[in-house]
Amino acid sequence: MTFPVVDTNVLLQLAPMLVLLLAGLVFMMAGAFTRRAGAFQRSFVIVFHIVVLVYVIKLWSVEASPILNGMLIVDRFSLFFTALVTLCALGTVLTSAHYLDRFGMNRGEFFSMLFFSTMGMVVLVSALDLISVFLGIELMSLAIYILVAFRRRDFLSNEAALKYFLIGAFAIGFFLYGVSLIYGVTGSTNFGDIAAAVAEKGLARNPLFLLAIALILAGLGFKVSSVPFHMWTPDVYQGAPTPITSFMATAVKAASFAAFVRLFYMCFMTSKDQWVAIIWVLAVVTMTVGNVVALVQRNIKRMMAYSSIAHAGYILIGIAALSVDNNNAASGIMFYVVVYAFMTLGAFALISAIEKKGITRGLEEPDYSGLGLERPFLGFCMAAFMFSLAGIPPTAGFFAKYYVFSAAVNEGLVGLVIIAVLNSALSLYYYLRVVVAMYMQRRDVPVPVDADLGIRIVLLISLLAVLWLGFGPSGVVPGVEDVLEWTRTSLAKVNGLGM
Amino acid sequence: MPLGLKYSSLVILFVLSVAIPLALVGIASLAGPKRPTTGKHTPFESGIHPVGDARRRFSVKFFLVALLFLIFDVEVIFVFPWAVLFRHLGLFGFIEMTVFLVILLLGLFYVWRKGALEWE
Amino acid sequence: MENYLWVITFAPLAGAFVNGILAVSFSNSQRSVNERLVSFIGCVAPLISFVTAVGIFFHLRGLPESERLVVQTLFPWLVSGELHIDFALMVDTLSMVMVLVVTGVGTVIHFYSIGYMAKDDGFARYFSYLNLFMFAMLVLVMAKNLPVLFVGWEGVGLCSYLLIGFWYKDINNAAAGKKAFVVNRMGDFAFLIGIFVLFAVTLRLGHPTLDFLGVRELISEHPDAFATTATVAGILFFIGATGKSAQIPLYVWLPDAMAGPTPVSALIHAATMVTAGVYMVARLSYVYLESPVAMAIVATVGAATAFFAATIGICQKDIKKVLAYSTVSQLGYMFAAVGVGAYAAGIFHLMTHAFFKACLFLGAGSVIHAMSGEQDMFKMGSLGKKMKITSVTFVIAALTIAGVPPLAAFFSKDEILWNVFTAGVGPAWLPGFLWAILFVGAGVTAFYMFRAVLLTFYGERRYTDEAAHHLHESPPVMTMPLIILAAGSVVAGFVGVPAVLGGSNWFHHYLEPAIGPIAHHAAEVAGHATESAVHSAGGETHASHGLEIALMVLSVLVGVIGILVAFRLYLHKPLIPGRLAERAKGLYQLVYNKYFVDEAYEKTLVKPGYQLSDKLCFRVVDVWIIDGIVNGVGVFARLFGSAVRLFQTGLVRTYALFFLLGLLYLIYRLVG
Repeated sequence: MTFPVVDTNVLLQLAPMLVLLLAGLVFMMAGAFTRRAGAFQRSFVIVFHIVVLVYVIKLWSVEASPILNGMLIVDRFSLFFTALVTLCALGTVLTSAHYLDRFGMNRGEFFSMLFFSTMGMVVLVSALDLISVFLGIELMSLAIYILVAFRRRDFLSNEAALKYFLIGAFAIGFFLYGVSLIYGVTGSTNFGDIAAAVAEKGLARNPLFLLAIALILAGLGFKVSSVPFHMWTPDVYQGAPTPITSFMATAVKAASFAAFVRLFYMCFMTSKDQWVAIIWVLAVVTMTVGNVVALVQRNIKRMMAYSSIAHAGYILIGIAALSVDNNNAASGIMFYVVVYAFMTLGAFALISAIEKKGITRGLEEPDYSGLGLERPFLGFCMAAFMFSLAGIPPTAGFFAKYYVFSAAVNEGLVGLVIIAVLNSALSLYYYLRVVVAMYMQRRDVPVPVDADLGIRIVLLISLLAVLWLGFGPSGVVPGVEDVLEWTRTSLAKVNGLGM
Repeated sequence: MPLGLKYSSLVILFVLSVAIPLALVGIASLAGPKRPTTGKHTPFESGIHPVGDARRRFSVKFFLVALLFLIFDVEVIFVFPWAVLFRHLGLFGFIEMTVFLVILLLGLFYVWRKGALEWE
Repeated sequence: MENYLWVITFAPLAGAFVNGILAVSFSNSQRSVNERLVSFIGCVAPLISFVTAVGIFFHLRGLPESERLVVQTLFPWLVSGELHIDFALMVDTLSMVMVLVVTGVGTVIHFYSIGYMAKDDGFARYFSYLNLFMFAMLVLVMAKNLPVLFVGWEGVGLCSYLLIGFWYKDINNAAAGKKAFVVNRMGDFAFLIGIFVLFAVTLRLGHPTLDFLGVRELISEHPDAFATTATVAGILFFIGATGKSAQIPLYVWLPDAMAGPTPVSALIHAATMVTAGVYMVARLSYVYLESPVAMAIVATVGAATAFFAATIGICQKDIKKVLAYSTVSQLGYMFAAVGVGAYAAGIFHLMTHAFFKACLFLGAGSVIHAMSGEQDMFKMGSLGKKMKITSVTFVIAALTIAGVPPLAAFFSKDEILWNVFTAGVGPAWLPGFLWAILFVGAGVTAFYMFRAVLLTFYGERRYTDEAAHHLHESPPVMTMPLIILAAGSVVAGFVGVPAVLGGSNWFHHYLEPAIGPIAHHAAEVAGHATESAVHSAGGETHASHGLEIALMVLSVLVGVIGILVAFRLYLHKPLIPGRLAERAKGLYQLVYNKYFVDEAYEKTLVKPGYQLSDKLCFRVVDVWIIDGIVNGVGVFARLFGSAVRLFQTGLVRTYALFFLLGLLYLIYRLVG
C-alpha cells in the first residue's frame, strides 16, 4: 500500500466538502469569540456558499472516478445534489437574518452547524459505500439535532430536538444492522462490490439480503419521513426554528433521496420484484396520511410538515418506477426535489417573516388574513407556492408531478398514479385554505410582516423558479428542459455503474 | 467456504459464552443450600450500607465531562495505530494526523472558551 | 424579409399593451388620459404593420410565382409526443391580400376612430382593444397551421365581444356582446372538433401535422384516405365559419353586434373579422375540393343567406341594421363563390367588400355622429345638403354594392355570379338555382341600399330643429377616411377585370399559387368553374363569352331596376311603402321582425337550454351530485384525518412503536 503525499485531483474533487468543513470551523471559532453574528459574518457565510457552488461548476466537466478507496465518487449526480443542498442552505441563511435576531439566536454556531450539516449531505450524496452513507447521515443529522434545539429557551424546540434525536438514533441503529447484514451476505460495503456479489452469487432472493433491504429502507424511510416512520416529522418541524424547518424539508429530504436513488439503483435493482410492492404500499400510505392529516391542521408549520410527508409519498412513486432500462423515474425524482426545494423555501421564507414571539406565534391561518390584499407581492408569492405545492399548472409543481407520474405510468404503475392524482386533488383543500385566508378574509389590524431583504430575495428567486420551471422555455435562464437534461446527464453514469 | 463454516467459531463462542454462565448459576442454585437472611438480601455495595434511592440526580456537569472524556479517549484510538505505523506512513500520515488534531484542538478551544471546563 | 413577419403581428400587440396600461392607470383617476398620445400610439401601430406588409408584398412580387411564400417560425409552441406545433407565421399570396386589407382598411378606420371616439371616457381602452383585435386578426390570416389560426380565431372573437359591449354600462350592449360570444362559441366548438378530426387522420397516415402545407401535401399524396374526412372536417369547419361569418343558422349575433361603436362595426363586423370564415374556407381549399358534398353545402348556405338577409334589409329602420343585414348578405355571396370552388372570386369580393362596406359604415357613423346618436333613418332625410362629403362617398359606396359598372363590386359580384352559374357542384339543377337566388338578391340589395340612401340623405327633412342645431359635417379626420375608402371602392375592381372585358384578371393569377387546385384535381372540379371562365381560349369559349356578357348585362340591369324602384318608392311617391305595408300586413310584419328567427331560437334553444341548466344541471347535478360528492369527500377526509391524528400522541414511545410495527411489516412483506 502506498500513500501519495497529495493528489491534487482528489483534493479538487473533495473541495466542496473541504470548503464546508473550513467554513464550519471558522464559524465555530466566530461563535466562540463573538456574541452576535453581524452583517460582516453573514456576508462571509454567503461567500463560502458561493465558493462551494463555483467548485461544483468547475467539477461538472471533470471525469469522475471513485476516490478514497472507493468510498466516495464526485460525479454529476452528486454535484447536482451538492449544488441543490448548498442552494437550500443559502436560502436558509438568507431567510434567517431577522429571524435569528428576533429569537435571540443569531450566533456563529448556527452557521457552523449549518455548514457541518451541509457537509454531511455532500458526503451522503457522494457516497459510494454504505459506510460513507452512514457517515454522511450522522454528520448531517447530528448538526441538525443541534439546530432544531437552537431556540434554547423554547420548550417546543427542546422537545423537538430530543424526539428527533431519540427516534433518529433508533432508526440509524436499524440502518446499521442492515448494513452489517449486507456485509455479511456480500462481503463488502462498497456499492459496486455489492452489486457484483449479488449478480455473481445470485442473492436477489436471499432472505438475509432482503432483510437487509427492509432494514435499510426503514432507516432511509425515517430520513425522508415516509409513513410509518414519519411520526416525528410534525413535532420536529413545528418545534424547530422556521428556517431550519425549511432546511430540513428541502436539503435533508433531497440528500436522503439522492442516497436512496443511488443505493437502490446500483445495489438493489435485481431484487426490484421483491421490493416494488412494499414501496407501492409505502407511497400510498405516505401520501394519503400526509394529505388527509394535513386537512385538519391549524398550525401552518404542522400543515407544511404533513405536506412534506405527502410529497415524500409522491417521490416514492418515482422510486417504485426506477428502472434499469431508462432514467425517466430517476430524473423525474431529481426534477421533483429541485422544484419542491424552491417552493418550500419560498413558503417557509414567508412563514418566518410572519412568525413572531409571544402566545400567538403568528402561525395560524387567521394570521394570514388579508395578507394578499395588504402586501400584494408577498401574497402573490405565497399563492404561487401554494398552487405549485398542490400541483396546479402552469406552476413548476405540476410538471414535477407530471414527470414522476408519467415515468410510473410507463412502468405500469397506473393504479398508484391514480391514487396520487386523487391525493393531489385532496391536497388542494388545505393549500387553498391559505390562499383563501390571504385574499378572501379581512382583519382590522394589518398582518405584521418582517420581510427583510434576504427574505424578499428568496421569495423572488423562488417565485421566478416556480413560474419559470412551470412554463418558461429553455434559454438564457435554465428552463424545464435544461434541468431535465442535467438530471439525465447526471444519471447516465450512475445507471452505467449499476447492473 | 460456506457462510456457516466460516463463522462457526463465532457461533461456538456465542453458545459457550451463554452456556457457561447459565451452567454455573444453574448448578449453584440447584446444588447449594438456601438460607436467606436480611443481610444476604441487601444489594452489594462494596461493604457499605445502602442509603436512599439509587436513582439520584447528577449535576449535568458530570455528563459534560464524561462527553469530553469520551471524545479525547476516542482520539487515542486514532492516534495509536498512526504512532505504530509512523515511519511507514511518512509525511502524508503526518499531515493527515495534524489536520485531525487541529480540528480536535479547535473543538477543545471552543469548549474551553465557552467555559465548559470550569466546574463552577 | 421573412424575418420581419413578426413585426406585422406584434406592432399592434405592443400598441394594445401600452394603451392597455394607460387605460388601466387612468381608469380610476379624475384626470382623463392624453388623447393625442393614445391616438398616436393606437394609429402608429397598425401603420407600422401596413408599411411592413407593403414591404413584404414587394418582396413576394420579386419571387417567382410558384415560390411566393415567406415563413417565420417564432418558437416551438405545443410539443407533446407525436404532436409538434410551432408558433409560426406564413405569408403566401392569399395571406398577403388579407394582410393588406386588414392593415390598410384597419389603419384608415383607426384614424377615423380618433374623431369618432373623441372625448369618450374609454378612449385608451378603445384603442387598446382595437389594436388587440388587429393583432388577433393578423395572427389569424398569417397562421401557418390550424392551431395558430385558431388562436387568432378565438382572439378576434374575444375582441369582438369586448368591443360590442364597449359601452357596457347599458345592459343591452352587454347582452349583445354576450350573445355574439355565445353564438360564436357554438361555431368554434365545431371548428375545434374539425381540427381534431383532421389531426386524427394525419396521425393515422403516420405524418401527424396540422400545418397547412403539410396537410395539403398529405392530401395530394393520399387523396383516398381523406374521402370521408374531407366531408366531415369540411362541414365542421364550415359550421365554425357560419358562427364567425354570420351565416345561416348562426348569423343572429351580427345585427345585435351593431351595439358597438360604429368604427368597430366597420372594421370588425364588416371589413375583416366576419370575413375570416371565407378566408378559412379558401385557405383549406384543398380539403373542400376533396368533398363535393361539403362544397355544395357551403354554396347553398351562402346563397340562401345572401337572399334571406337581403330581404330582411328591406324593412329595417335603423341605418346600421340595414348595413348589418347587408353584410350578412354579402358574406353569403362570398361563401357561394368559395363553395363552388371559385376561391379567387370569393376573396376578390371580400377585398372589394372591405372597401365599400367600411365606407358605408363609416358614412353611417358620420351621420350618427352628426345626429348625436340617432340611428333611425325615418328621423333623418335630406342630410345631403348639410353633409356633402359624407353623402357623396356614401352614394358612391352604395352604387358600388349595387354593382354599377365600372365600380369595384361590379367586377367581383359578376365573377361570383358567373362562377356559380357555370359551377359543377351538387345536382345538375343546383348551380342554376343558386344563380337565380343570387341574381334576385342582387336586385334586392340595390333596392334596400338606395332606400337607405334616399331616406337618409334626400327627400324631405324629418329631423327635429334641435337636431338641426347640432347638425354638422364631420371633421377631416373622419371625412378623409371616407374619401380614401370611396376611392378604393371605385378603383379596387380593376385588379380583377375578366378576360371577357379585355382584362387579364391579374388578381386571379396572383392568388393561384396559394389556392390553385392540387395536381390531381386540376382537370376536374375546380377546372370546371374557373378555368373555362377565365383563361382558356378555345373555340367553344366564344359561346360562353357571349353568355357571360349576357349575364353581366342582366345583373347590371337588375341592379339598376332595384335602384329605380327605390327612387320611385322613397323619393317620388313616399306614401306607397306605407300603403304596401298596410296591404300585405302579414308579410310586412314577418320581414320586419326578421322572420321571427330570434324568437324561434329563444323558444326552441335558449329557453329549454336555460331550463335544462337550471332544473337539471344546477338543482340536481350540481347541488346534489357534485356538491354532494365534494362535500362528502371533504367530510370523510376530515374524519379520517382526525382519526389518524389520534395516533400522533406526541410521545416518543408511540412513535418508536409505530416505527417498529412498520419495520415488521416491511420484513414480513419482503422476507416472509
